[in-house]
Amino acid sequence: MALQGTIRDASGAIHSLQGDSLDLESVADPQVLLAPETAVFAAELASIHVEAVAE
Amino acid sequence: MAEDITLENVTQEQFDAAEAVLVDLTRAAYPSLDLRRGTVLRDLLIRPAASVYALNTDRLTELQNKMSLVTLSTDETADPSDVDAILANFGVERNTGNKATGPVMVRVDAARDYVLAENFRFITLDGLVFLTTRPYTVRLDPDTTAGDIQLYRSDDGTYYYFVIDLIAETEGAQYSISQGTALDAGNTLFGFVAGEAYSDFSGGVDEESIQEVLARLPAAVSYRALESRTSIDAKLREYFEDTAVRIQSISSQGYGDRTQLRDKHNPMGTAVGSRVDVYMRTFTSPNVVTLQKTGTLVAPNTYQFEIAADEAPGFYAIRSISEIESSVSPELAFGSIPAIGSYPFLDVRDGQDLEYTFHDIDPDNAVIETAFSVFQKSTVTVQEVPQSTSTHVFKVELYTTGGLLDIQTYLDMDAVRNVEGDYIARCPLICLVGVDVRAYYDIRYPVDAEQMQLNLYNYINSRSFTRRLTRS
Repeated sequence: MALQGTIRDASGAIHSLQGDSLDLESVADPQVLLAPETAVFAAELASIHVEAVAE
Repeated sequence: MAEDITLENVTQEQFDAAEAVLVDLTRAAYPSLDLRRGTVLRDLLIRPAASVYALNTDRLTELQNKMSLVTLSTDETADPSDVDAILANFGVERNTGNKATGPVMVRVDAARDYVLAENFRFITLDGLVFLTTRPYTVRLDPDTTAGDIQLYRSDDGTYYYFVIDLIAETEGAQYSISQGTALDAGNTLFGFVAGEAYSDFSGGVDEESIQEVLARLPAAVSYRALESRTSIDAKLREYFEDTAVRIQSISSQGYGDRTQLRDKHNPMGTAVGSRVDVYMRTFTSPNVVTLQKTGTLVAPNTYQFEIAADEAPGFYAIRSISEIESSVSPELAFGSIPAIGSYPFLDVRDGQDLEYTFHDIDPDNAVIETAFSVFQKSTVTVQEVPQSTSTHVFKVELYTTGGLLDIQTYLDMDAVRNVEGDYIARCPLICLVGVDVRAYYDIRYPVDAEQMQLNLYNYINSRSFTRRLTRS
């Protein structure tokens, strides 16, 4: 399973996260209001891809 | 209610048990009485009393069960009114659900006037019914002062279309249909060709379960004032209960918090307190608002328009900008917010009407300090548009948190806000997540990929303000 995250801070800059876990602290910058305490995770259904493969 | 239980509800087992108790008690007090079956005392004294005893015992058990929310939560046959009666003791009301709303694009065959009455029905293939909230008159040359709706001609000229707002017939999350969902006309509309959801419908919420009420009860019964995080949470949830604003989670940032910038407006840059930024998640899946914006040509193939503060209050980001009749895939390209299929654009934010507000916002840092609040506006420059007419109408989709203006208005009420406080409501920053899963399975035990997708979707969208999202 691969996770990807995209988040926009208050200045308009886009930050990308990727990996086994998405850690908002890794991109935190309080001066542009970006921190785990100001942000939430959300997903649209179309952004979740599940492929079932028979072995 | 317990009084609803009558003698007809008393079972033979309950009666036999009651009779045995009464016989034992009477014999204990009067050992010489003949209480055998068939005796006068047994038939005229014990058995009638046993009926009443059994009835009262049954009612008492029922009453005890209905006095406990924990017991009611495990009883699938529990009457919701019993739950509401207990919650009333705490001044708490259970949310009874909300109706989803959203726009529908209606395709019609010709350029004529169309009139739709209030409560005109549209129905999905699954039988979900949506209604118009007011009468609509649709014209090619609309009188906008009279509330008329614009009729558009498709690019290829093969049909005409218009966009109007709908509301679900009843409450429920299943009414939050996706963009592109087909909607058939449930009433007669001459010239109707087809209908489809113009963007994702939002706001549809199921009735609150007993378990959900139990989870929020600690906050609901706490001290009600805009002081501590818990009480801010409680007061907002109480006020917006049973409204279209469904608060999922709240994060208040105040004195000493690293993202609180507004309380450092002094030469020393030291925090002075009394400023609170309240980040409100009022959505589960990302909430999308659709606007139709007319851009002005500012350069070849480049248009510009402004999104004013009151058009999409506190919106987080622009999901897509497209032709007005397009349906853009909700899928995001990794590392980029606009959805695939959107025109490229520049989104430049700033503060609006700061001179008219008492809130402490530094004009020199307005882009940051008004961000995601009702005091922000945006100037949007759309690029690479094929046309170069003087103006062009775009479909603009925005990620928002619903009800932010209502929340800010409430926080600003003199009767509500702390006299020393300065509260600004903000849409949370939304980390839009994409997931790729390849599930290998034994052919004897097939995997339900759709259900797995739905489970992941629900899990991610149920998170509160948290640091990590892990694949475990």
